[in-house]
Amino acid sequence: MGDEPEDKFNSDHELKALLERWTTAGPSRILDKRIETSFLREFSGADGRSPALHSLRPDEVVSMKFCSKCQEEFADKFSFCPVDGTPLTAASPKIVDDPSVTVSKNDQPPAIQAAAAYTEQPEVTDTTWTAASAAAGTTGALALRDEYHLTFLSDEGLTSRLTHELRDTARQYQLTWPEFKRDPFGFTKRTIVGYGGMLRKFLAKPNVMVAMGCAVLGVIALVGAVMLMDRTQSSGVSKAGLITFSIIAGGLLVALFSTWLGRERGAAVMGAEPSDSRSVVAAMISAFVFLFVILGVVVAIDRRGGGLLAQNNSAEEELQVEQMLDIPDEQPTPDPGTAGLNKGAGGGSKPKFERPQGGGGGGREESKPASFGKVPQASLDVPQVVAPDPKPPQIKNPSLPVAATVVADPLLVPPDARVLPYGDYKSKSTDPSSGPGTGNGIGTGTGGGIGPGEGGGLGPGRGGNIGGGDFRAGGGGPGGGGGGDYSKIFTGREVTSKARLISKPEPQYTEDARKNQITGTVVLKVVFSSNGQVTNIRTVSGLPYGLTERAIAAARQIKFVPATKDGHQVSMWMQLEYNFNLY
Amino acid sequence: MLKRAGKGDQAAFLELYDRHREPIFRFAYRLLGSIDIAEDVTHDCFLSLIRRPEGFRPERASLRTYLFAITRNLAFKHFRNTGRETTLDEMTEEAQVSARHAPLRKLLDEELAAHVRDAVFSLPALQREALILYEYEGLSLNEIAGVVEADVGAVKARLYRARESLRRALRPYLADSSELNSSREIVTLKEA
Repeated sequence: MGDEPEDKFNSDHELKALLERWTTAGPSRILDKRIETSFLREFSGADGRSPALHSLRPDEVVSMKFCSKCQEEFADKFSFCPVDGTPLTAASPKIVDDPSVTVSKNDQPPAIQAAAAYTEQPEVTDTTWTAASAAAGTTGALALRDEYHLTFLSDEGLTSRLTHELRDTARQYQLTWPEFKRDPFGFTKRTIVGYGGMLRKFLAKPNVMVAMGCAVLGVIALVGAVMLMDRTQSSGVSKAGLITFSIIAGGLLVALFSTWLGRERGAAVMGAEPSDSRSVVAAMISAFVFLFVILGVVVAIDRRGGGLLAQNNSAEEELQVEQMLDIPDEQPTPDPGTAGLNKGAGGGSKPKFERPQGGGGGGREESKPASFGKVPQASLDVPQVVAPDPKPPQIKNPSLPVAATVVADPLLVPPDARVLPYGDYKSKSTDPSSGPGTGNGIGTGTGGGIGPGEGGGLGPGRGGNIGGGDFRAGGGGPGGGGGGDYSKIFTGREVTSKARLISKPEPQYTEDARKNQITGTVVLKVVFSSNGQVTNIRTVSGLPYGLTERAIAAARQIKFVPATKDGHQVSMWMQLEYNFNLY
Repeated sequence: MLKRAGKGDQAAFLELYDRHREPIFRFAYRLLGSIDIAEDVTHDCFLSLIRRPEGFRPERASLRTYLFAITRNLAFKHFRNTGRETTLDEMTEEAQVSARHAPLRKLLDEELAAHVRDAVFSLPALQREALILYEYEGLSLNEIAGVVEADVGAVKARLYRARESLRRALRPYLADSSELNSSREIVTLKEA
């Protein structure tokens, strides 16, 4: 049966040829010896128990590695041949569940015996073995477990080994590239699954999670200590005390960790369980790497942000002072408000907001309406001597000239520099006239002012000033521009004129810093206060060995003219940078 | 010979073992993907043969078929015990180790071999064993049916599906296998 279908199956030569590319090595001579021994034991009657399937237990199977140079096999723990340093290949396993093999190890050189000692103690399966164990020593299996085992490494230099490894890695990626190109998604999926499995296995190893936790705690403690030192640098807390604290904290963690291992394994950190220790060390290293990567990213982002900030500052810097930058902190800017002649809605000269009121009017009983013109100089302090007149005075007998004025707040009625005759600022008539009012002013009102009101002011209202109603001096508030709180600390953008340096002493190096070759920049954030003092000094970034303190002392000695805003001296944030260089 | 071996004749047993050790080991290795486990399975296979020689009935199948069947059962027992098959990193480990110190040609061969191996391992277990027995060990469909305890039709169906999957998985190598060979020849010339 099956000739025809088998022919059909055999016709797939191409696939068959491809499949034959996957060749396998034959069984090792160790297996031959093992099977022969098992056969003999089976019929020798010494072993009443069945060895079949027994050897599948992982604690009895020891995988071995093979040295192609000296043709010897070594324990799996070795990466390089202890005899000649040749890299070992995973060749064939070696079983140690029979006494003959174990006993034969005595013929090997001491180094190989040490290698064999890495193997797990086989389970006692027969009386022969029990006798052999007992004869070997009274301590039995425990003695083997607690033995110190030598580790043989290649004597090749670290750099050349690293280069070798990197070249191998590059070659592996080169080889997998076609596979990736063929099926990128499948390849990625397989890779993720593979590495995920490896990670799971790694985490599942004994002590790994504990070691990672300890490492994370250690790093967090160290970072916390460093931050604490940084914050308290200028507040006089003893730095030596903090360093001592950090060392003690780190030492305690290591001691805790060692104790845990010691309790569990009866050994020190690099104790008798090489695989455990290796996992532990690997876990600690990976935790450290992970945390330092995160810290690095945070620091990089922080620095990048700081750099941008400094760039913005320097672009707006107007003071040509070396190593000085404005603080660009956002401050609430006052509303623009309405100023001046807005029917009293604006402010005035008084420091707090108060709606101005009052008005004035006048006229010279002329038939024509008041003509358009500028408002004369306003003042609330100087009483009106000469009322405005649209027609230039013709003085026949020259005497001391007196300028025309109105009674109003000069901030609400700023001086008008235009070459115009005086007149009603709301009139559309251009024919010079004082209007039909009375009292020598301009307009329809009564008095020396301009407009329909009474008195020497402007517009409707009475008694002078502007804004309607009875006289009241206005002031402050957001509308006037004259009010405002000048006691707060302004930024460089908000002030009218910035602080101007008179003298800026340079800080001196400390002896310790010079000895330790400390260089760098101390950045301080300070306030150039309105009374000429440097206050509110904060350290943005400092330097050790007293340099920060020297920079702060130098900053305190700066002499400057305070910044002004609307004619008032105000306090202003500044950033000072002191460069410490050694030449 | 088996009877003699079963009675403790070491020479007979060794001859039997020598005759079958390679195919059995290769089959176990290709099925399990690990040299260590394959050697264990080979060991247990021969041990169980001498312990229960009466289990083999010549009228039903050849000794070779019987040994393959034992190996298969032991392999599946291993799968059951461990609850998983060989993971990716274990399978690629050997290739990586040997690739480190091998010349370029060996690397190319190993790359191809690794792809073939991965493709075979990606097959379902029943298809995989049928394919290994047929393609690598050269068993007939009838013999395979005896080993896997299924009828010939089922074995054929498994083989067919296995080949289809392999063709899909190894398509780039099938399409330009001649090109690969030629490039390999060039490498060989350069090395010479």
